[in-house]
Amino acid sequence: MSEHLGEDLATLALGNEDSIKKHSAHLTSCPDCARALDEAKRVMSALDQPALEPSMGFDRALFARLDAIDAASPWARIKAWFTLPRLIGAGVMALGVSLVLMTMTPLATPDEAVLASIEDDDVAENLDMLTDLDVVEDLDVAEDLEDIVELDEGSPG
Amino acid sequence: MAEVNARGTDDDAALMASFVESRDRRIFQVLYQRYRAPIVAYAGRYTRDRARAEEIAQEVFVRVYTAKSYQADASFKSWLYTVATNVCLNEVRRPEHRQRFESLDAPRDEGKGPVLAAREDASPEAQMAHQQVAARLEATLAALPEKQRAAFLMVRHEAMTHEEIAKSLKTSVSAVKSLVHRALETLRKELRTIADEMADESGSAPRAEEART
Repeated sequence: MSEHLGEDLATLALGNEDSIKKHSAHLTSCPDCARALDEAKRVMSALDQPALEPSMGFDRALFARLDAIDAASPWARIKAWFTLPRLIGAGVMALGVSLVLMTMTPLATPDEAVLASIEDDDVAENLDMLTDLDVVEDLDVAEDLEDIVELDEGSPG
Repeated sequence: MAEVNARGTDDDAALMASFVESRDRRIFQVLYQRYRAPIVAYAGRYTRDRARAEEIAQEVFVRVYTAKSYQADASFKSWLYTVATNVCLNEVRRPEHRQRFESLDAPRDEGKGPVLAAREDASPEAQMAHQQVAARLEATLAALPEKQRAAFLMVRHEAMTHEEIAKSLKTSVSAVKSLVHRALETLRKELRTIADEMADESGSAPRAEEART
C-alpha cells in the first residue's frame, strides 16, 4: 500500500493537482485517508468566506495619510519651498542686490583698510627709503619732463 | 501578481526596489493597485471588523511607502505578507481586540465583517447549521498559534506556495508544511466535535451529517 496522505492533506483538500495524482491510488484503498480528506475539504469549505473588499473611501484615506507623511518629511518641506514663483522672486531679489552692490562700490578707490595698514611702521620706513632713492632724482627723463612742463606754460593759449 | 523568475525575484520586487530608490509615487501606485484588495481581505481574516481591517491594511501600505530600504532578492509578495502578518498580529495581540473577538460568539451580520457563507439553496436549518460550523471553525482558527494561523491563511486564502510562505514567515518549507498540517488537524478535530454536539442535540444522525456539510 502506498503511503498515507500526511502533510499533503491540506494541498489535496485545496485541489492541488500534483497531490491528487500522487495520492489518487492510495485514496481508493485507504478509508482512513479518504475520511480525513473528506473532513479537510469540509473545513476548507466552511472557512471559504467571501473576502472583505476595500470600501469606497479606502483609497482616499490611505493617500491622505501618504500626503501627510510627504508633507512632514524634511526633504519634502525643502522641495515644497522651491516653488516656481519663489524661485523667480529669489532670482529677481539676488539680481537687485547684485546691482546695488555694483553701483555702490567704486571700482578704483583704495580701500580704507588698505590705507590704514600702510601706517604700519615697517611699511612707512620702506616708503622713506623710496623717497631717498638717488636714482629717482638722477633720472634725466624726470628733468626733461620739467622742461616740457615749462615749455607748455610758456606757449601761447 | 508578478511571476517569480529564475533568480527567485519578481517584477514587483524590482518595482519596489525602484520605488525605494526614486520615491516615485507612480511606482508605488502600481504595486498598491495590485495588492490593495488581497491585503484588505487578508486583514479581514484576522479581525472581524471592517474598519479595523482597513486600518490594518492602511498601516501595511504606509510601511511599504515609508520603507527605507528593500532587498530585491526575494518575492515581493512574501515580503509584503511578512509586513501584513506583523501588523495583523500586532492588532490581534491587543487586549481590546481579544475582548471584542471573544464577545462575537454568534454569526455576524453582513455589514460588520466577513459574511458567513451558506448555500443559498439549502434549507434555513441547514444554513443556520453551516453558519454555526463556520463561526466555530473561525474561532478555532483565530485561537491557533500565530504561525500556524498565518501559514494556514496564506495557503488557504492567498494562494501562496509553500516557498513563498516560508520566506514570509522566515522559516523552512518543511516547517510551513508542518504548520499548515497541524492547523488543519486542529480544525478537523473541532469539526468532529461540532458534529458530535449537533448529533447529541438533535438525537439524529442526519443532523450530524448536516453539520458537516
